Amino acid sequence: MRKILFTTIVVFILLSSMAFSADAPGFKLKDIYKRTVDSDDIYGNGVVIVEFWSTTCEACKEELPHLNDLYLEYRDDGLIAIAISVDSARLEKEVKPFIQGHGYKFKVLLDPDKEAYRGFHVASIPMTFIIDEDGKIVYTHLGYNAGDEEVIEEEIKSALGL
Amino acid sequence: MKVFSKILVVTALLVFAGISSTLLPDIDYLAFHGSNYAEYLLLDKDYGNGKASFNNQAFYDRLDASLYIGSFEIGATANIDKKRIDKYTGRFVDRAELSKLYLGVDIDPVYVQVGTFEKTYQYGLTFYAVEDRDLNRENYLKGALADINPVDGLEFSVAGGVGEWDGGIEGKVRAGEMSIYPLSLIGTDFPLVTSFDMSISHLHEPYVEGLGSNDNRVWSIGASATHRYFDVAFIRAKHTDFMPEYNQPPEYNDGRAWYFSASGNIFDFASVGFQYKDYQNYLVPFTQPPPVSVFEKSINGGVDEVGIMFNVSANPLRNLHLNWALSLQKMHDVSDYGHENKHFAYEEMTIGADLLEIIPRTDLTFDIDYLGEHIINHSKLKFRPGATYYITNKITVKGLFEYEMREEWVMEEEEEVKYNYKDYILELGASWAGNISGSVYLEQTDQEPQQFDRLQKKRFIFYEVKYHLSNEHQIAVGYGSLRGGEVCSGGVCRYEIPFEGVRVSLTSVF
Repeated sequence: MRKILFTTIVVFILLSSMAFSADAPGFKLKDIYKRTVDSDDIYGNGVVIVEFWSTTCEACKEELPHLNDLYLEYRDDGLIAIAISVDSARLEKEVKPFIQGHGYKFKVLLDPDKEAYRGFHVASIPMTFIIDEDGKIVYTHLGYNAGDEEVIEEEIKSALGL
Repeated sequence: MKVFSKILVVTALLVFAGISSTLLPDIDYLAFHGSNYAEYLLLDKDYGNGKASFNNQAFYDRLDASLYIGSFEIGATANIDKKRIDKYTGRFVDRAELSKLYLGVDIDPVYVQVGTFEKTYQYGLTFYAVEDRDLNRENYLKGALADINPVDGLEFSVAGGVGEWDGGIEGKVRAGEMSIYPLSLIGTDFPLVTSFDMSISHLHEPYVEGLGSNDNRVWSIGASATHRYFDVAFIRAKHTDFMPEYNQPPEYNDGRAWYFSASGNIFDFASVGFQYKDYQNYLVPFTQPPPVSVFEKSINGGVDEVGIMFNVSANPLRNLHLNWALSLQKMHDVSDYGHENKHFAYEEMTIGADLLEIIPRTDLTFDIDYLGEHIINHSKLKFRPGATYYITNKITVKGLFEYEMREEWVMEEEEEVKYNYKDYILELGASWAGNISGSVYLEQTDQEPQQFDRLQKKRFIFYEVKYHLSNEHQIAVGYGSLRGGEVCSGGVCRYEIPFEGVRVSLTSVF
C-alpha cells in the first residue's frame, strides 16, 4: 500500500511540473434548441471558453453567472462561451428552463452520452477550458472557489491579447 | 489478487505513458490524454471491531485515458478500490477493474466504437452494462456502436452488445434509431427544429431456472418541434414481452405520450413556463418520455399519468431571484388491489438574493428553498445565508450557513407517524484563487443514527486544504469526519463512505 501511495504521489508531482498545450478535442453536440453544433465551426473563430457542468452540481451553478458576465464583457473582443451540460438523458429537459430562467446568454450544449466529457477527459465538474484561436487548450481549471473567476478572466485577457 | 495486479500494472503503464506523452514532440496524428482521481484514506477507526487506530488505510483510484492515432482512439478507464466498503453488507472488499476499454474510429461521417460505451435511444432509453450498485460508478454496454451522419439533418445509429437498459435485467441488447430533421435537410434557417425519430430495441434476457428466458422488444416513433419558446413532442411505442418457455402468447403493450412545454419572458424581468404531459400506458422504464419536472426534480412516476406544471422565475431587482413552481398530476395505478387514481401535487419555491458590493468588497447571499411533496407527505424548508469577503482581488474568505427543517411521515404499523428533523451546516473557507484554499465543514443533525449507519454520530466536522499544483493538478488534504452518502457529479454518482480520519486526494488532467 505504501509503495502504491508513494508511486502515485511521485507520478503526480512529475506530471504537475509538465505544463503543455494540447489540441482541443472535437465534438458534435446538440444545443438546447436541438441544433447540431460542430466544434469545427467554432475553433479558430476566436478564443473559446468551455465549461462542463450539470444541473445537479452546486459549484457549477455558482460558477455559471460568472461565465455569463465574462462572456458579456469580452464577446466583442472575440470570446466564445460554451457551457456543456453533462446531465443524463433523463435530466436533459431541465437544462433549457434552467438556462432561460437565469437569462444566460452563452451557448449551451447537451452531452448526455458524455462524448465531449470523455474527449476532454473531464476529471470532475465544474471544469473549465480556454482554447486559443489556434484550437489549442491554453488553460484548464478544476472546480470552483469564490474568486476563481478573477484568475479565469486574466487567462481570457491573456488569450485574447488584451 | 492476480487481476488486481494486472490492473495495477495497466494503470501504472497508462500513467507513465501520460508522462511520456508530455515529453514527446508535438505530432499532429498522435496524442495521449487522460485524467486521474486518486484518494487515500487513513481511517482512525476500525469499524470491524470498533478500536481506534490509524492502521486502516484505503486507496481509490480512477484513471481515464485515451490514445489518439489519427482517426483512431483507444480508451480505457481503470478503477482500483483497496479496500472498498460495501454499503449494503458493511464488509470490506477489494476491487480492480477496467470498467471501460474501447477502440473508436472517427471517419466523417461515420463513427464506430467497439468495446464499451453508453448510448441513449428512444427519448431517454439508456443502454449500459450492469450497474455497480455498490459505488454507482460508470458502467458501459459491451459491444459495438456505429453512428452515421451522411448529411445534415439525417442521423442513423445502431448498437449491439451485452448489457441492460434502465432497470432491466442483463442480456443481449440490439438497438437502432433513425432521426430526420426536415428543416435542416432542406437547409433553411427557420428558427424551429423539427425531428422525426424511429427506433427499435431488443433485449434478450438469458434463461434462468424457474423464470425462463424473456424477449423484450420495444419500437417507437416520435416527432418533436423545438423553438426558443416551446417544445412539442409526441411518442408512440409498442412493447412486446415474450417468454418462450411458458408457451404463452406474447404480451403486447401500446403506449403513447404527449408532451408540451412553453416558456416566455414578461416585463423583461420574469420568465414563465408551462408543461403538460399525457402519458397513457407508458412503459416506464422501457421507454422514457420527456420528464416533467419542478426545477431539477423529475416527477415522472407511472405508466398512466396526466399532469401540468406552472413555473415563474423573476429577477425584479438585478440581484434578486424568485422561483416558484407548482405541479399537479393524476396517476392511474393498477395493482393487485385493483385500479386506483392517485392525485399528486408538488410545490417548490426558491428565493435567492445576492447583495454584491453593498458592503465594500463583500458579497452577501441569502437563499430560501421550500420543497413540498404532497404525495408521500414530505417537505423541507432550507435557509442558507452566506458571505464572501474579497481581501484582495485574489484572496477571499467565505462563510456559509445552512439550516434545514424536514418533515417526514413514515408508515409504522399501519399508521402514519410524522417526524421532524433539523440539520445545520456551517462552512467557512478562504481561498487564494488559482492556488490554495482551505475550508472547515461542520454538519449537525438531530436525527438519530440508523442501526446500520457506519458512523454512529450526529455531528461531523471536516477540515480540508486544497492546493493547485498547476492548472491541471490539484491536491487536497483533509482531516475529520464526513457524513458520506451518494455524491453525484456530472450525472455520475458514487457512494462516498462515511469517513473519519485523514484523506488525501489528487485530481489530475494530462
